[in-house]
Amino acid sequence: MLIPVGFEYLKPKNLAELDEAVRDGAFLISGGTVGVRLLKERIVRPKLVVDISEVEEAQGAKQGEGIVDLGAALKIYQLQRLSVNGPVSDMIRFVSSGIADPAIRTMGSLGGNIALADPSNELPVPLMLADASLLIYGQHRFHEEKIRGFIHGPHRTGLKPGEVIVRVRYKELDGYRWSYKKHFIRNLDHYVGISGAMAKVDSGKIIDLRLVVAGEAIMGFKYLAPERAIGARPSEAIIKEVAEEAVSGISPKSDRQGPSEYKVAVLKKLVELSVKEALGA
Amino acid sequence: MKVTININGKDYSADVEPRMTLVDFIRDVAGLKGTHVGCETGHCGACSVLIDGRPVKSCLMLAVQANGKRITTIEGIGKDGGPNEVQMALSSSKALQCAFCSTGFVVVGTWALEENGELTEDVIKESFIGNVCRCTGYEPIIKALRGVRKND
Repeated sequence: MLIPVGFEYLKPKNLAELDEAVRDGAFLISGGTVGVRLLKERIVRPKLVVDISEVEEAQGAKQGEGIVDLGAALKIYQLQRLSVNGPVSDMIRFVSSGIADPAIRTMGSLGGNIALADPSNELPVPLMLADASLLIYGQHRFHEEKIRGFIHGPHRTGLKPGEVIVRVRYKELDGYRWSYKKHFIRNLDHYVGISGAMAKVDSGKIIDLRLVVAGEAIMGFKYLAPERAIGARPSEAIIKEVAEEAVSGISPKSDRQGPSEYKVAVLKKLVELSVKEALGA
Repeated sequence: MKVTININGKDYSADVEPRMTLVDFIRDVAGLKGTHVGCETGHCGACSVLIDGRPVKSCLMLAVQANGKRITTIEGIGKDGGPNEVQMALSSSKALQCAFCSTGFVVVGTWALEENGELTEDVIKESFIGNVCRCTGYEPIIKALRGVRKND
């Protein structure tokens, strides 16, 4: 039986209540799909658990003047049904539909998916492509941070103790095409590799190309904007060059998911497929 | 901590420790033993229940998180006092073996049918991605449920 150590539980309804609830050593959960497991396995042993799932400032989704503004408490299944338009939002809907299983999508939240920074968490990928901003609250004040700088490495972010992601904002990338590819060995395992690409091509030339790779092969998230592709015509040569750049310098560890070289080869292939699709090549 | 959860239309209230999981509340406080405890880590789906009509894994949720919510367990699933379409299909095709996982499959299958109106092979495979069966190899379950439609 996996039973957490005893703790006090608080569920603030808004940020003012959150200020009163959070104190040193508090462990924050939103959906709890990871947090409750950490509690049960006694990897964390907090005296206080603060459930931020109903904080009112972190609810809902809206779109205006080209900006999409999502509450961090939105559940993943709600993201599947986002009623906002544009390529980034389309990609978020698609990515959300493939996260874990229907039960986990009922429980897991947007904010949790970002804050945990697990290399197999998927929502950071479209959000990094869109250069999304995170509205963070803690210590009685708000500040905004770009998601690209927020994720420092596997399970490491810029979030300080007691801080929470309240909202996620991004500008729609009109005229962009996107593609998202991932590979796993078994259902619900960590992904060997993830590759998301967004591109704008006009008059047969690449105007912009953005790429995010993630998963076990890279043990983190890596954003690339291959400058050499800009102005070029989409071609196999460009695609292969981008794929080479994406996997350069990575040396994943060999484990039960496969040897290091296999993981690199998988990621490279995913990049090729996603870039090709995003370029419409 | 005082918790009240509506399970299958009936309110169950108890003073519980915050560390109690929802599945333990269902089994030990409400006394409804149909929801099984499998892996305890959210992988197997044996503990699946519906919260406000959507599936969750009750081993990964604290009872305090479910305070005030409306839950449906396997005991609350059925139609007109008998089995529903999913239960009928699994039963008549003898698609079950040890049946430890079956309550989770029935709960998630019932949600999938409600959501989609019909259980196509794609819907079945997508819906049950978080449910593990160690006996059947899944084929009999897929075969039994393929084409099941919601009868109003």
